[in-house]
Amino acid sequence: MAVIETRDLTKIYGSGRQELRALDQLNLQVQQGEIFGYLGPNGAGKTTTIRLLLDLIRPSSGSATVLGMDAQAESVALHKRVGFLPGELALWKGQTGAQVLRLVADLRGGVDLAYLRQLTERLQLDLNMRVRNYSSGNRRKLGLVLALMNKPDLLVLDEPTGGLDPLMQQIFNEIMFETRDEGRSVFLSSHLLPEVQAICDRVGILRQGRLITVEQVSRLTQVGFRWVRLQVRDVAALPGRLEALEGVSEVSVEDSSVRLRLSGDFDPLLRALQESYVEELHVHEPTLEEIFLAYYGNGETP
Amino acid sequence: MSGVLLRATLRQHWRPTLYWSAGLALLGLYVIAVIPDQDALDNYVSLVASMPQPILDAIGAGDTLLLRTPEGFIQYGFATWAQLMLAVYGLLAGLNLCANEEEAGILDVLLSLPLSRRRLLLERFIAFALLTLLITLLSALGLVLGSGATEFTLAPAALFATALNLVPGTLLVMAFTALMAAALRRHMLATGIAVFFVIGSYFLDFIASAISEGPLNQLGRLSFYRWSSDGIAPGSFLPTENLALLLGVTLVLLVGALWFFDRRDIGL
Repeated sequence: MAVIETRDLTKIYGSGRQELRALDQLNLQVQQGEIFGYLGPNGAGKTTTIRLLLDLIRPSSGSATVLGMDAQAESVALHKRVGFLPGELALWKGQTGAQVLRLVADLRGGVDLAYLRQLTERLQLDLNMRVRNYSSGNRRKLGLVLALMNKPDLLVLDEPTGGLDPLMQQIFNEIMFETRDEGRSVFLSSHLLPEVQAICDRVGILRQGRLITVEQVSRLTQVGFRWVRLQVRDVAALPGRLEALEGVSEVSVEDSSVRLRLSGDFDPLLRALQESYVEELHVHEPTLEEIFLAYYGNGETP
Repeated sequence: MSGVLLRATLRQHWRPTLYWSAGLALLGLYVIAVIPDQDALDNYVSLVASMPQPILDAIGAGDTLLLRTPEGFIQYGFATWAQLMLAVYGLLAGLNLCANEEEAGILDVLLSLPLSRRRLLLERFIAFALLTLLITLLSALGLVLGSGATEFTLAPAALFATALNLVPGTLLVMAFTALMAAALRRHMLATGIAVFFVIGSYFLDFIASAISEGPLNQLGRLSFYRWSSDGIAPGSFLPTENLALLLGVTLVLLVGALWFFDRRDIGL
C-alpha cells in the first residue's frame, strides 16, 4: 500500500518571466513500511514537495494522497497520523522544551507520556531549557521528539540529522529502523548521502523540480561503475596501457598505486595486468554521492 | 474548537498584557490626578479653552461645558489617548495572530498538526480579544483607584464603561491587520499598511473634527476613532449604532482574513 502517492504534482511560483517551476509533474509512490530518501541539491524541489504533502502550500496542478487521504481536503485528519520535522525548525523562543511539548501534545489530543519520556531520555534532551538557549543539535532533538511523539504512521523529515553528533545520529538511525520494523513509514529529504545510504530502503533523486529516478539504495550503489586501486611494482608503464582499455577511465597514479574507474566487466583489466606484478587490488563500490554526482554530471543515469 | 490554542495564547501573552494594563492604568491615574477638585478642573479647562475652537474640536475638547465635568474630562483626557494606544496594541495583536509566526517559520510546525487554519486564526483572535478586554478592565481599575484620591464622586460603572468603550475599536484594528497579513503575506507591507491605517484614521478624525460641518467633516466618519468616541455621553457605553458598526466591520474584516488565510501558501 502506498502511503504517499502523487499524480503530476506541480508547483509553479510567480508568473511570466518570473515563473519558477519548483516542482514539475511529480509522480511518486512511497510504500508502507519503508524508509524513503529524497535527494537533491538546494532548490531541487525537496522542501516544496514536503510542503505540498503537508498542505502548507497548494499545488498549481496535480494532486497528492497521503495515507490514503487527500493532502489538501483532508489535511486536518491526515495530520493526526503524520509527524513532521521541518528543515529549519523554528519554535517559540521564550518557551521551555517542556512547554512546547505540552502544547503540541495538547493540540494532538494527548500522547503516550511513557513513550515521550523514553524518547527524551534516549535523545538526552533537557526539557527545562528555554528554546532560545538550545544549541542547534538540541533544537533538532526537540524537533525529532515533536515529530515522533504521537507514533505517527508516516514521518516526514526534512534534513533530519543536521547538527546531531555521531552518537545521536546512530540513535536516530536506530529509531528510524524501529519505526520501519513497526510497519510505519519514513519520508526523509537529505543531502547527507552516507546517511541516506545507511538507513534508506529506496531513494528518489530530484533535479530542478523533476524526479530523475527512484531506485533501491542497494541497487543504486551496484550499478554503473566501481573504483579499482592497484598496488603494482612496475607502475610507470601501466597507466598508458590501462587508459586504452574499454571501460577504464580516470586513471591516476600515486606513488606505486594506480586508481581507476571501471565500467563493465573486469576481464579486460585483468588481462592487461597479466604482465604486471600486482601486490594489492582493492575494489570499492561508488558512494551514493559519486552516483549522485554522476546523475547531475550529465543529467542521465550513469 | 478545542480551545487549546486559545489557552496557550493567553498563557504566552499574559506578561505583555500586564505591562499594557499597567501603562494604561497609569495613564488613568495621571488623568485623574490632574483634577483633584473642581477648582483644578476649572483652571485646567480655562487654560485649554484659550485655544482656537477648531483645535479644541480636533482634540475632542470642543464642548468645554462637558469638559468641566469629571466624566467629560476623563473621556477627553483618558479615552482619547487610550484609544490611540490600544490601536497600537490592536495592530501588534493582529500581527501576533499569525503573521509573526509565519515570518519566524513557526506556522510550519503548527499547521503540520491536526489544526485547521481557520481554527488557528479564530482561537488566536478570541484570545487576543479577551486580552484586550482584560487590559481595559485593569486600566479602568486605575481610574477607579485614582478617583478615590479626588473630591469627586465617580461611579465605578461609569469609569468601567469609559474603558470598555475602547474594546471595539481595538478589535477592528486587530482584524484589519490580520486581513492585511493574510491577504498580502509580506509581513513588512502588511505592517506598513496597518500602521498607515491607524495613524491615517487618527489624523482623518482629527482634521475632520476641526471642521464643524460639510463634506470634509463627514469624511471623519471613515475613521474608526470617530465611531469609538462620537455621540457617547461621558461615563456611558457606546451607542448601539456605533457598537454595531464597529463590531460589524470587525466581523467583515475577520471573515476576509479567514478567507485569504485559508486559501494561500504559507511561509513564502
